[in-house]
Amino acid sequence: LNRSRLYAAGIFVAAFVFLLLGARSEGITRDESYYFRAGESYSRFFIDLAHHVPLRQAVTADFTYNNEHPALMKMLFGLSWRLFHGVFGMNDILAFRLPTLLLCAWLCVLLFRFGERLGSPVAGAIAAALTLAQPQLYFHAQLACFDAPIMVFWFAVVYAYFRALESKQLRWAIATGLLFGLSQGVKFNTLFLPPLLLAHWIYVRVRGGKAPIAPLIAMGVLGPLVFFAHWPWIWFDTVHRVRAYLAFHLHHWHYNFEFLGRNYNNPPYPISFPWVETALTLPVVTLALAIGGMVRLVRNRLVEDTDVETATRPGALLVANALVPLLILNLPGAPIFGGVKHFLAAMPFLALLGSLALVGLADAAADAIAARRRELVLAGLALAAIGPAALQTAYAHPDGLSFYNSLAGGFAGGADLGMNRQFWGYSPRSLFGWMNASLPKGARVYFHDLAQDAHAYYVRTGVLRGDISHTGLEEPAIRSSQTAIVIHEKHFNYYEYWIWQLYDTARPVRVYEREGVPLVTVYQRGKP
Amino acid sequence: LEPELELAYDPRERRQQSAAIAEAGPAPNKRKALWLALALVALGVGDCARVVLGAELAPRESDWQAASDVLRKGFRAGDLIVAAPHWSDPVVRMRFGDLIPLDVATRADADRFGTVWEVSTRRASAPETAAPARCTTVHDGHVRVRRCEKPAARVVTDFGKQILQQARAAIVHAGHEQPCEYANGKLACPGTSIGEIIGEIDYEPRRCILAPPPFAPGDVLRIEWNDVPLGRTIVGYAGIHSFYARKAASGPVDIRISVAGHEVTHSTVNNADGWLRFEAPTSDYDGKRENVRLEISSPQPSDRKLCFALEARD
Repeated sequence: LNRSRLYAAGIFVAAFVFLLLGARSEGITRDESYYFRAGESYSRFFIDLAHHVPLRQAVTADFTYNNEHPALMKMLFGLSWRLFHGVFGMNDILAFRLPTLLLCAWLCVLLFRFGERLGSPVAGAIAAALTLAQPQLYFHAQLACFDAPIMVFWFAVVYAYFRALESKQLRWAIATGLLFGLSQGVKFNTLFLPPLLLAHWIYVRVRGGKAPIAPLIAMGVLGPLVFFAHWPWIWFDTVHRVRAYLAFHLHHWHYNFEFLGRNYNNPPYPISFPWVETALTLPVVTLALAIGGMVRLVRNRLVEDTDVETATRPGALLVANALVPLLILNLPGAPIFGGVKHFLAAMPFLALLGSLALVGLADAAADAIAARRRELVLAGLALAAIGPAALQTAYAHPDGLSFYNSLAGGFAGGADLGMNRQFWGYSPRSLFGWMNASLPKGARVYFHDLAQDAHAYYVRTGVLRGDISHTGLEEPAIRSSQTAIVIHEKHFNYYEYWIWQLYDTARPVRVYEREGVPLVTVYQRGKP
Repeated sequence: LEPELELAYDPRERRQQSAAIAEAGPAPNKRKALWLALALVALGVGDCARVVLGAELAPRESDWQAASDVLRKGFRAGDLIVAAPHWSDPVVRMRFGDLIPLDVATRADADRFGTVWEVSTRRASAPETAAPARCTTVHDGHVRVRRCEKPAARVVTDFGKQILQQARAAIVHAGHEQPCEYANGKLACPGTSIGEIIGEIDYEPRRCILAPPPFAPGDVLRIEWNDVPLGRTIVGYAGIHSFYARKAASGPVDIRISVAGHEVTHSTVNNADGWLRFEAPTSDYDGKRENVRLEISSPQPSDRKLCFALEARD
């Protein structure tokens, strides 16, 4: 092994362990519980084929559920579960989540590699740390959902495209096309990449570079092929099913999201949304470095190597990929209900821009003090950037969606500003210790936004006592419950008032809070 | 995919470049770089400090206990307890919920309370304690308790509480009244119904009378209270249930109030109005008993879940 590969392996392992620590205690989100179930079903497809079930019959049986999303991640979640839970006995939840953890660890390696190609592997390594050390990103990076994986694939496609331009090797062009196709198997987000990369390609050519067209052609040719090949559901009734898939996302229902004190659930959304969300959720040092990294490019080239600069225009590539995911949220009608998760793809690029700026700053600062041990200056500044970000990430866990940075003032500051408290109904997991210890046998609980599938997985994995039942949805479920919880989101208030009316009390028995900010409130019938 | 790579970055080259720059003379950006580096460190320290302070300044059990001891000693039945900041309300209700009856938690406003206890974290203030209230801090710390005194309105008649027992309701269609009937705790009217709920109006809990306008545009929901005592003013609030105000529809709802056959106020409630206050002077009827009529209608009545509270006050 050469040193580069050794470093890459070290980064992969460190990132994986960092993610694993969180994934063990993170609550199950609504969507995740559906993808667990889909993963079980989709991975059964391979078993069905092995048992000679006719193809069409197997596709219908295994891929009908949750067919509004492509299959790649759900198949990986399911296969991981069959292998690591079924064979090695790993906890179900963790087994489902492993593919996301591995992909995010791979992202860290890609960041290291990108830094290396830009002349600073140290910057790449720092970028990896600054990417994972973001409370909201870290939250998503633990889940068996699509948001972190699509971020990884977005970055991977851009990295392969960059390598194709830099090396002019056909294999990198092919890799660009294959990765683009796989990314489409995760989520449609990367449909914005072809026009973005085409614009960059034109920019490179206009500035005198001889950028090969092969990676873009590969995206156009291999992308659809891989997308089609990965998803058995569209092997039959292809036109109808692809049309249904596109229609679902073009006409997606708008969910509720609180932003600066106002509940939004319909366009038009404020243009400031992605920018303010980013400014208030990225750790402040990372944010400052990212801005500094972009400002620095106004007067400086990103890399000293003229050949690389001319062939790839990496500064423009990184800035475009840092900004476009946020700009997409400014398109009319673009939904905001997922907050940062919709533009997570920007974060690795912001981190890389920031880490390159940090390395440059460390170099200049070492010059300024004529430091003999220049690497100590770099280490000190890296620690000043990564340390606080990691501290905030660890502190925010497992409530990363409720956390806001120092500009906002943490959990409490975010609540003061009327920023979204949370979504997806995952936070009650922090109350399960109390519930398991104190609820009577056979307790009937109204779990509000905690999905019934999530409840089933909690019970299956022993996180929640098996005799604590989920009474279902809406008013009848509250009526039939003895204990009721409300997960605090602005648009959910009326559930709490229903509980008051039906339990005849406004006094909770327990509140799960962070920095005094209520996340989940519990009521019990008959408790004055 | 990855070919055999050499490290493109060699720290020794950096040193050489820097040495070359140093030899060329003093770099104009050196001082700036140093300040930027120090600023970065300061930002990092600030970030860490905020995390530590955020955890430290959050109230602990002992803070709540100390605040509780003081508040409970001075609290009298009929006083109001409010939370500041507003988002801390569930925590305050958990601590003091035995002193906050459901009617108080779902009040239309705080006008009828002469004494308000503000339980505050982060030194926030509640709107109920703004002037003209005069406040005294009775306990300080991570949980602050202030006792505030203010003029209290006296409620002469709560129309909502009397609606099912004493009010007469009807739908007016083409000039003809179609009376509502009492059934299952509600007044059932043709095309709509009237009943008390704890509604979510402007994202707040309000005990109010759910009285949607009749289904047909132009029809009027009429509610009449006969021979009720009045004071110097009638104060009302109305709003559309938040769930329906958010996206279901956008039609305006008209509310007209008449006393002794004379219209005293007319308001229009829209989605964005929240919990709209309307007020009508009734000095001419102060201390007297009169008939009061409330009429609700909408040109676009679909999904207009209007809820109101109405009181005659001194």
